[in-house]
Amino acid sequence: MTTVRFDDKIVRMFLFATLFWGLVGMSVGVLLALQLADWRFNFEIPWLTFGRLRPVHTNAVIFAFAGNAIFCGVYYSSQRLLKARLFSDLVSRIHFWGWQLIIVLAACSFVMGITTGKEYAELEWPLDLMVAVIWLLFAFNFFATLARRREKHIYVALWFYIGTIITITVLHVVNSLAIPVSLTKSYPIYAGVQDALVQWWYGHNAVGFFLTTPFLGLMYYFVPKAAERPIYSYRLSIMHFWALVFLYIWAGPHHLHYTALPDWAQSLGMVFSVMLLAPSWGGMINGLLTLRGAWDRLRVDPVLKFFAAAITFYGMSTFEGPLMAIKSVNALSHYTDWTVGHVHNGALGWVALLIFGMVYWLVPRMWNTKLHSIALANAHFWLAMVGILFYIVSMWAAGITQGLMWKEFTADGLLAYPSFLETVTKMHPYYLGRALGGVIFLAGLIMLIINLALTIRAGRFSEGEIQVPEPKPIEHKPSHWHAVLERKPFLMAILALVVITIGGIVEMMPTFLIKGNIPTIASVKPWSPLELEGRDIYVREGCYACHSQMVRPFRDELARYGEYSRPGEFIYDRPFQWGSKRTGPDLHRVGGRYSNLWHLRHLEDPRLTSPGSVMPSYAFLTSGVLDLGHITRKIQVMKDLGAPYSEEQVRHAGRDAKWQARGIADDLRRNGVDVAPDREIIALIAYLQRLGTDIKKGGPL
Amino acid sequence: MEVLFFLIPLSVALAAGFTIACLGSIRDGQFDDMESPRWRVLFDRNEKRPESTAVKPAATGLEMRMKPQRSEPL
Ligand code: HEC
Repeated sequence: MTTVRFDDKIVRMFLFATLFWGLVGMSVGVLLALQLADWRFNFEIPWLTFGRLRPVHTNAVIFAFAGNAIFCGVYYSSQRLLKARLFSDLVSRIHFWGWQLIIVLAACSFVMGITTGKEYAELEWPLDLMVAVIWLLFAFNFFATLARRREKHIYVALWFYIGTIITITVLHVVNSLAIPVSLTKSYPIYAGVQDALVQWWYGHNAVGFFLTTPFLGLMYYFVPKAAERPIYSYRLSIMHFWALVFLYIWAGPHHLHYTALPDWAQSLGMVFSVMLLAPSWGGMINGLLTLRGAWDRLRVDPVLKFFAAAITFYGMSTFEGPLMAIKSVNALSHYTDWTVGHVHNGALGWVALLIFGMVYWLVPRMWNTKLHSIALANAHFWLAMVGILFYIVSMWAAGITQGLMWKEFTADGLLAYPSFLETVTKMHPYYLGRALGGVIFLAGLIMLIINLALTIRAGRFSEGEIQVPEPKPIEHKPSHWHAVLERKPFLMAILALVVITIGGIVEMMPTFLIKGNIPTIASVKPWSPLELEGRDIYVREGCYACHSQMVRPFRDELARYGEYSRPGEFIYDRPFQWGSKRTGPDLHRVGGRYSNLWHLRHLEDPRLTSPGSVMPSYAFLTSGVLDLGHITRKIQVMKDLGAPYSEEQVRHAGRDAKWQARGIADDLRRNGVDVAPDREIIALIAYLQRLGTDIKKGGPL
Repeated sequence: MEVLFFLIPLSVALAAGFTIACLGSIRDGQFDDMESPRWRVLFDRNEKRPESTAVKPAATGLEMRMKPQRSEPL
């Protein structure tokens, strides 16, 4: 017999990080919710404006809160399931500190406006590289531990972890491919529709493989442990896993219904999304029935309460998701706050509650004591429930109201609410309700932290140990390398995957990139240097967090915005800025609709032109001087990526930009406002005025 | 749109990877026994760490509780 001591110190580190980033991420979320209720909650500090802060919230909650919780739970459960200490303490530590460093750098870069402008993948290229390295270290640590296991059978939770690790690696790499312009700016190698497709293929699967599969793995470990009952049906859990990984990757197009994506791809996405309901609900039922026989304990054990609620919310959001993926429902729900409600249904209801249950279970065990206060934990549970209720009901009401108001016509066939502003001010009470829900949920988290801190103070931390019969891990008699591989299915899977993927990339990449950039609309031309700078400011400020740039072919959208968007109009857009939510109106056809002066006044103080608007004031763009330092390089990169600029245009990019800026400044002066031509706001106005105007210049569509 | 010609093969490759993993592990006998793994997770009785939970103070006896209390449909 030998003793194996588990590395629980690393589990503890990730546990603390989970709670810390949970607090940060949710606090920022509350601040953002308040900003939509009253814009002044950005305190007129550029760093705190909605567009810059939203990625801080989403990334902190997904990659910092949920991410650290995944690492915490995976490292705890894997060591026990594999009966082996983690492969390398050093790798674990690098993994931990590397991940925290990325989070801090990410938060700093987002508030400074350093972003790729792709939702949930906003990290700029140096941080993307760091993520790849740290993630691969995690993968290495995990698989090396798996290889040293003393248990032949791979428990179902581990399969979920394997699926997560492999898929996230592929998603991250494919979606992050970009050409750097400087240390803090890059352009994606995909443009327009292509970029949108890759982004939502990533975005959907990130939800699937970062917020679903790892947490299902944790569910299949921690729920039986906490309930002290075995999984209801092990067979069902295995089927749950395989069905989920096979179905998930095809459902991404449901984020792009009624856009420029081909119809068959949209239908494919819809069908697979609906099919996903089956394994998801199988898993939910399996999880809930695991608690069968422990129902009486549900009343007294907060851990089981959190788990039961989390699994129920998993069922709810995996029902809501397929529903929203049905095209006719999506026509109403897309771009509304319903989507936001759906996300939080999953994030607060499923992910956060499961994490809470897990840490309530882990801490007393790791610190060899009892939970400080069960009453406090129960109170937390009910606060969380009320918070989620406020949040989701507000967002459902807001979303459906928005959707209906946007689409409403009068008997005369005119838009019933022609001014978008009306639909914005109508949201006010719902946004207050949402903020209240967020505050309540956050209060619950604070109670959890206090409760656990007191628990930890009363207990003494120790690492788990087990006695194992033989000193060495189980033997695989290696003979022929192929035979070895066959006995290590996961290794084989990875190898096959890597080979196929590399082959695929090498072969496909140049073809699709070049083909996709052939102009299909003759009058669509690349951005001028000044417009490109303006566009980069649009990306920097995160305007896409509130504005879409995709007019769908619906009667109401045609009446409200104009011509629907054609795929060929986006071929120079890197990154695409279609957005996913319309807190403000769509901007794809805003070019030429207003005067330069209107834009200036509106951007400096949206309340001047639109009383009651929740858009932040961008007066700081009038004082900000446009940095033209990289303009030549930017145009050159665009040219390299296929935009038809001449050598001349590349060389004189700076001069051209200044010339165009002077024109706009002159126009403003004629209208009585003096703005120096070298200001950022001039570039932004140039971009807005160009948006969606090219097809009006004639030529076949 | 052409990027579909890349994303679809990539997704197929992923699915193929998972298929290989699935078939491999079936052949490996991973899924032959659908009964004992679900119980085995619960038995880490030899993990040394005074067991004490929020609900049941310091009782070990996990093995005892493992006896089915009601008839167990499997
Ligand atoms: C907090 C969400 C939010 C952010 C961030 C935001 N906007 Fe807005 N925007 C709105 C709302 C709401 C309206 C509608 C009311 C109004 O006109 O102000 C609007 C309206 C507009 C309009 C007028 C559109 C029309 O057709 O009437 C323009 C142009 C605009 N925004 C540009 C921008 C730009 C550029 C940015 C980034 C620098 C930005 N917005 C950031 C919420 C936002």
